[in-house]
Amino acid sequence: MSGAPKPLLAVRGLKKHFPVRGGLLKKVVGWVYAVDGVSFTLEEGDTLGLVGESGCGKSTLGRTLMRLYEPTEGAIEFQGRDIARASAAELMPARREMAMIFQDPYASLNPRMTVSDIVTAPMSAHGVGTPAERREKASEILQVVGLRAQAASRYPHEFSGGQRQRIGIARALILNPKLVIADEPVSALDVSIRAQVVNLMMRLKERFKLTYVFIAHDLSIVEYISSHVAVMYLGRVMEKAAAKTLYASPKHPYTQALISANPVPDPARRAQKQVLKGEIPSPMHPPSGCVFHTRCPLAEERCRAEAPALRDVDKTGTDEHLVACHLVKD
Amino acid sequence: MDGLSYDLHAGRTLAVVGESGSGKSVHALSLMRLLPVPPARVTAGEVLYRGRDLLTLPDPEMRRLRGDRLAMIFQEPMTSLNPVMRVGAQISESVVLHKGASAAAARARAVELLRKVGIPAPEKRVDDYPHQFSGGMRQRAMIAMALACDPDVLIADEPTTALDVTIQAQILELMKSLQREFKMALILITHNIGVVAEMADDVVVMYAGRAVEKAPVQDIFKSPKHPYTRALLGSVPSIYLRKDRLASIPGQPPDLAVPFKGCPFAPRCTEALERCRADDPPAFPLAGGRMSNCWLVDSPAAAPR
Repeated sequence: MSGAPKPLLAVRGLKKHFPVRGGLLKKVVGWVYAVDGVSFTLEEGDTLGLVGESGCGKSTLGRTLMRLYEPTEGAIEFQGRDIARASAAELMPARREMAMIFQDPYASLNPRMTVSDIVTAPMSAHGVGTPAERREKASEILQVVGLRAQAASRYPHEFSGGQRQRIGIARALILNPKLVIADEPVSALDVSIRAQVVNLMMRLKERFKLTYVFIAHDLSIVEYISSHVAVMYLGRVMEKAAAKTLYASPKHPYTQALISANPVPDPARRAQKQVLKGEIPSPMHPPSGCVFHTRCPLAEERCRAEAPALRDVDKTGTDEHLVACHLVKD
Repeated sequence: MDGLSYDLHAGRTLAVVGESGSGKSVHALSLMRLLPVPPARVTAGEVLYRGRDLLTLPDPEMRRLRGDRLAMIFQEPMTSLNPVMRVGAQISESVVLHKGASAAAARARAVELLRKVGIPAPEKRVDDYPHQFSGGMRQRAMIAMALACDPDVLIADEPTTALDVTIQAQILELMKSLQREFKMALILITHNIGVVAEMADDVVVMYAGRAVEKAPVQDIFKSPKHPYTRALLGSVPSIYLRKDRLASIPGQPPDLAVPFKGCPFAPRCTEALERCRADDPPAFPLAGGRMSNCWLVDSPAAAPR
């Protein structure tokens, strides 16, 4: 990819480990390896879907990218500058360009604030605009996300789940960010409402030239919205490729199992599933070698001993197809 | 269930689908209180289990059936299991209650059931408490509990909604194989269209507290008759059937606390007629044992497709 524009976001060797404290003196008795060496790049205008099961570290990764968690190790280059260790003051300009949408539209909106105060909170935090300008901006952005301007003076409890998620989206967009990290934004919504919100997010992406990191456990919705998809398991990226490639020819045994496990809404396609045995091991004690080897139907001796590196196996020369598996041929 | 009836036979699966507030869980609970087994039938306020109307059954007799012939599993395994009671004791409780098993026999039965639902080292895990189980294992324990007395009918209310997709696949496979083995009738309540497609023989679609369509599973997906069913299927993303834009249903389901006139779906329906806003459509029987509560299927001229 020579001559390509600089990526908007480049993550290198990112780790986030949480201490586990125990005993009388609350000493550190272990670590949760929530994100354990993740690297990827994201070009402006792309949407990276981050998928994996609960406990795979996808939400921790999203929050660490925003510096809501302090990274343990690694670099987060946003617009060419490493923000992984930036001070609070140095972080402010980058934070203006990044926004987050949360999963639970009930927990992520303060019930005692009016919708106007909620959506303009980022403006107040960054000292943007006068109160009158903020009010005006609030009614404008609410209409952009498909709510009425009158919604501004109401409180969150007066809205349904789908409408609340629109409020969360309005708050994320009010400072015209470049990067939006959406953590399971539609998982809590009903199917018909989910489609409304996903379609809205796609329209907004076009209109405001947004770049998304879209975190989800639902493979089908990720395929629908993403240009690229990264599959995570126990804090690591197992496979990353263009969405079309990943779904058409998944290489990693975990990706294959994940796709196969996804129920197909077509009774004519009822097929024997490739059902993975066992459960996700604890991220406090990740398995040796390849972290997936305990559930992998193909695991060999080597997989138990040696962690596979993420490497490019693309043959078409168009886009990267990264896989971390010893058994996938170059 | 408004104006809808169905038969459920041994070894068959009926899926009840709908979004939140569609009444599918209420339906489940009322079934559990009142209802069915293999040849069960709900017709105009009758719930026939093996020919006996459960609605008129005295309480003690109903209690004898519940947990024995009719069993239920719930969405949230953590809140449905008693946190201060050993898993094995919870599983075998119904065996003691309904079959008068001895303590030793009950324990042996609990171990056997845990093995059957795929819990490793069941002799040890039988003495665990629910918090020592993972989410998937808790759901397996709930299934073991429901199966303890070899029920004729199993009602599963969103049994996999709280689970990860690979664990969901495990649980669905388990339910299928147990159903084959025990010839149970299964009522599966879910909002997941993919799960419906994989599990069901027959489907009831619910909206705003009532059934709007009933049909064999292939027919629901191939030729949905009710506009709500069509819209619901159109809004589901699928890895295999790529769509450029998800069809979204405008608006929101009605607030059931506010009385409304006509068809409850009419305000969101793109095909609504004058009549739809005035009169509530009854269930129209269609060929192939299907039913649709929609005025469009009543007038052949207006009928879509």
